[in-house]
Amino acid sequence: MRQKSIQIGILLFLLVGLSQVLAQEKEKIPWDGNRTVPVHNIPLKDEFNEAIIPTESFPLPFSSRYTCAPCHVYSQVSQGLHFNALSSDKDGRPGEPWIWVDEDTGTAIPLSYRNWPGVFHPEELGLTFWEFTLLFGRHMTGGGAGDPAVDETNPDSRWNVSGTLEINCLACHNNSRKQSHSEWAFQILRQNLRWAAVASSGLGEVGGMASRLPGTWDIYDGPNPDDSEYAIAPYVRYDKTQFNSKHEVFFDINHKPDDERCLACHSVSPASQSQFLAESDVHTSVGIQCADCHRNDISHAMIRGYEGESEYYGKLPASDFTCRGCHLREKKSQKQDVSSGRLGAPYPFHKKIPPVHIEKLSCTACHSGSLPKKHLTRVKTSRANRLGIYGIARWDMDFPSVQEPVFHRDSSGRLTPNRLIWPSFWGCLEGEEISPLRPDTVKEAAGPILYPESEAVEILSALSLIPNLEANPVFVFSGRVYEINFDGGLDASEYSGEMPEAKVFWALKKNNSLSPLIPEFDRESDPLDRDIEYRIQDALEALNNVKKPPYEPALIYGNKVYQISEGYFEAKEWDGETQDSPGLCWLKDNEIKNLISEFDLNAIKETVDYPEILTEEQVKKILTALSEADAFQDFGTSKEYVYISNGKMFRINRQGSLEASEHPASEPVLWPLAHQVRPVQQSLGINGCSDCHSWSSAFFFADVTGTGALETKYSAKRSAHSFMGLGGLYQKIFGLSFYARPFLKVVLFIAALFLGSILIIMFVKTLGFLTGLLEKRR
Amino acid sequence: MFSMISSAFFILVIAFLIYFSYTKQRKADKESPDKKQVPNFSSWLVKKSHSFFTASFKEHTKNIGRKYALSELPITEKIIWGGLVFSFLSLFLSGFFFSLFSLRRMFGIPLMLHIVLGGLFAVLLCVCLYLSAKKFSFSSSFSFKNILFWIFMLSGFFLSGTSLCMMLPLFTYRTQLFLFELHRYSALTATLTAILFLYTAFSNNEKR
Repeated sequence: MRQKSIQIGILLFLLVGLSQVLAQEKEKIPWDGNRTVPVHNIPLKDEFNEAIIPTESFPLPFSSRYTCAPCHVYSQVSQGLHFNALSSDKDGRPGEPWIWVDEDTGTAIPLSYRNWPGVFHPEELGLTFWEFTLLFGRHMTGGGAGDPAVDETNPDSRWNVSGTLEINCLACHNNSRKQSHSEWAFQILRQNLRWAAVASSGLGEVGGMASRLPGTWDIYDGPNPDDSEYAIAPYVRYDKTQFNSKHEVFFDINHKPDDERCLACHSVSPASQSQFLAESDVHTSVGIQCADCHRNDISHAMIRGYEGESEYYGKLPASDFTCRGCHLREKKSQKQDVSSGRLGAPYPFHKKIPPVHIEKLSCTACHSGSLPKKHLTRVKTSRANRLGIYGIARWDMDFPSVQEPVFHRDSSGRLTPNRLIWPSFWGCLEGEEISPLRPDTVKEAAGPILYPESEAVEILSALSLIPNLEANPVFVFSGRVYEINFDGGLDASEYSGEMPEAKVFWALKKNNSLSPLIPEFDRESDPLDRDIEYRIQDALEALNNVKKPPYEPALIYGNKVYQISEGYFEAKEWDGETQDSPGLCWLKDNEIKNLISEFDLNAIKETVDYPEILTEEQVKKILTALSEADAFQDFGTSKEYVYISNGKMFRINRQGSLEASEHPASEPVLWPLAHQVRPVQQSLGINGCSDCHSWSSAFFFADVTGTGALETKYSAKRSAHSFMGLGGLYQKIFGLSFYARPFLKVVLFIAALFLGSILIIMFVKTLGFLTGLLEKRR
Repeated sequence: MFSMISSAFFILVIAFLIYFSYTKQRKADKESPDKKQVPNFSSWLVKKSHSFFTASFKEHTKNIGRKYALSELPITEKIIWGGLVFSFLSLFLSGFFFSLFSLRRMFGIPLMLHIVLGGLFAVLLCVCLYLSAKKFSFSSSFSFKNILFWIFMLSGFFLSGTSLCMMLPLFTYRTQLFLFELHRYSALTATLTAILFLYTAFSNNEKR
C-alpha cells in the first residue's frame, strides 16, 4: 500500500513537472518567418492590468509588464542580460561596473551585483535596492534592482509612493525620436519611477514629484487636494492624438533597437576630444547596427560578443559573433563550426603580422579603443560620467577618471585592451580588510572640511548684494581669479594682471577686467570721499550678513581700521600691523583673521577647476574626524580609518602625518573594451613592428599613473607592461633587436640564395649523372 | 601534432640505430642466432650505455677524431664546423624543447637567441657547403652519407628560407602558419638527418 502511494506520488510529481515544462514551452512563440516588425496598435494596461483610458481625469501610467504581456512574457525578458544581475549565477566577462560617485567626499567606488574582480557588492555598502535605483536608475533599463519582489523591499524605501521601475521596453525598442533619455533620468530623480517609462517615451506628459509626497501616499490616493504648488502627486497626461477610438496607442516599435538607444547608456568618448573629431566604430560606418551583432531572442540573453562567452551561455551561438567568429573562420572545436562572414565580414589577411600575434593578442588589442600613448587616454562613459542627460543643469561630470587602454590578459591568456578606474573611497581598515564607508557617513563626520569653497562662496555671494555694483565680486589668490559659478561653486581663471601685494585681493570683474573692490583712497581726509565711504560701508554690511561670522568685518588700511559699530560707520586708529592697501578681514579684540581661512585657501588653490577634489591636508583632517566620531562607539577596537585614492591607501601614521602605502583595495578595476573599432589604417602595427616593439613604445611602456580625487604626489606609478605580466627589460631588449632585423633579413636572403643556387646546381648535375647526360669524372 | 610526429620519429630513428648497431655487432662477433636475443640485447645495451660515461668512450671519440683527421683541419675550418655544430645544437635544443615539453611556443630570451643563432647557422651552413660541396658531390660517390648531407643542406635551405619569409611583409596569416609548419618539419628533417649522418660518419666500420 505504502509502495503504491509512493508510486502515485512520483507519477503526480512527474505530471506536474511535465505540465510546467509544457507551459513554459507554450510561452515561447515560434517565429513565423516574417522579417517585418508588426504594427503595434495596442491598448495600454496599468500596473493592475486594467486598460488605460487616456481621457480619464487621472489615468495611471502604463505598465510594460501587462501592456506588452499578451505577446511577450515579462518573466522571460527579465532573465535577460540587462536585467538579471541579481538573479543570474553567471557573471560572464567583467564589464563596466556601476560607479557610485560622490564628488563632495571624493568617492568613486565600483559596484556590481555581478561577482567581478575588484568591485564591491552594493550590500557591502548597505545600499538597498531603493538607493541603488535612485543612484543609477538614470542609466538603468528598469527591472533588476529597480523592480524588486515585495519581500525584497526595505522599510526605508518608498516603493509604495514611487512604484517600481519595471523593465522599460521602450528604452531600447522605441523607434520614435521622442524617446528621451533625459526625461527618464529626471523622472528617476523625482522618484517618479512608475511614470518614468511613459514620460520618456513621449506618449504623455508627466508632472508632480513623488519625492515631495509623504511616505504614506499611495497611487490610489490620487492627486493631492491640499497642495497644488509643492507636493503635487505625480500624474500623466497622455497625448490623445496618439490613441485611436478604441484607446489603442501606436507604439513605433523597432525589433532591433536603434544605435541611439544603445548609446544612451553605452557611449564612450575621449574626454578631451571635440565632437566633430569623434569617429564612429567602423562597423557603424558601414551600416551595421549594435544589435546586428549583439543579438538576443525573447530571453534577452544578449550576445556580448567576447570569446569564451558560449561557455557561459551554451544555448546561444555566441562563438559566431566574436571578432574571430565573423572574420577569421575559426572553429570553436572540431565538432562545432562557426558561421563566419556574417554581415559581409571581410577576411583579414594580416600580412606581415607573425602568427603569434593572432594567437596571443585579442583582435581588439590592435583594432579597438584609443591608440596607446605615453599616457593613458582619459575617456568619459555614459554611466560613469552621467552622459546623455540634458537639462538646465549640467549632469555630466569629469570625475571619475576612466582611462584606456591598458593591456591585460583575458581568461584565455590573450592580451586584451581594458579600461580602468582607480577606486577612491573612505574605508575602515581592520586587519587586512577594508570595509568601504558610505559617503553620507563621511559627510556626517567631516562636516565643513569637505567644503572649503563654501566660505568663499558665502562671502562672494554677500558681496554681490552690494548695491549699484554692476560687476561681479571676485578674489585673486595665487595667480588665479575666483568667482561664483551657476552651480554655487567657484570657477577659476588665470590672472594676467600685475599681482597685488595683498595675499587675497578682493576685486570686481567686469568685461574680463578687474578693479579693486575697495580702491585705494586718501585715508587722512576727513570726511572720507563719499563714494569710498559708501563702498566700505556696503561691503562691511554685506559681510555682516555672512552666516555665523566668527569676528566682526573690518577694513584695515594703513594705521586706520574701518568698522560698523552699532549700525554706525566709524574709523579708528589701528595699532596693529599696518596695511599698505585696503584689506577686508574679520576682527575681534584686535585680532585679525583672513576672510577665508588658510586651510580653505590652500584647498581652493589645489582643487578648484582641477580634476582633484581633495587635498592631503583635508584627508588628514577627515581621517581624524572619522576617528573622533567613532572613538566613543568602538572603543578599544583595532580598526583604523583610511582613504583609498590614486592607487594608494592613505592613513595617519603614529607620527600623526599622512602616509601612503599599497593595498589590494587600491588596485585599479579593469574591464575589457571592445569598441570603438578603428579602421585598418589606424590599427596598431600598421607602421610596422616598432609600433609596439621599440625601446620606449607606448604599448609596453605607457605611464600608468594612479588617478583619483586626491591631489597628491604619492600617486601609484606603473608601466603598461606590468598589467600584461611581462618583463620590462626583456621587452626593451626585444624592441632593440628590431634594429638588427634588416641585417638579419639580408643575411638570411644571401644564405638562402646561396644554398638554393648550390642545391639547384647539385640537383641538375645529379640529374645529369643519373640520366647519363653527364659523364662521371674520376 | 608536430610534437607527436617528431617524438615518434626521434624514437623510431634512435631505436632503429640501436638495433642496427646491435645486429651489426652480432654479425661482427659472428654470434649464432639463439633464443636468448632479448637478454643479450639488454646486456649489450647496458654495456654500450655504460661505455658512454667511461674513459673508453672518450678514447673512442678521440680515435674517431684522429681517424677523420679533424685535428689536421685548419683553425678557421675548425671554428666554422664547430660553430655550425654549436649553432645547430642550440637551435635544436631551444626549438624542440618548446615543441616537446612546453605548451607555449618559444618566447623570451630563448626566442631571441634562436633568431640570432639562426642567422649564424645560415651563414655557417653556406660556408660549410662551400667547403664540402665537392667532397659530398654525387659525382665522387653516390653513398648514403652523401644523400644525408644534401638532405641536411636542403633542410637548411628551407629553414633559412622560411625564417626569411616569415619576416617579410608579404605573406598572409595562413601562409605564415604554413611557413611556420614548414620550418618546424624542416628542422625535424635536419635533426634526423644529422643524427643519421653522425651515426654513419662515426660508425666503426664506416670508411672515410
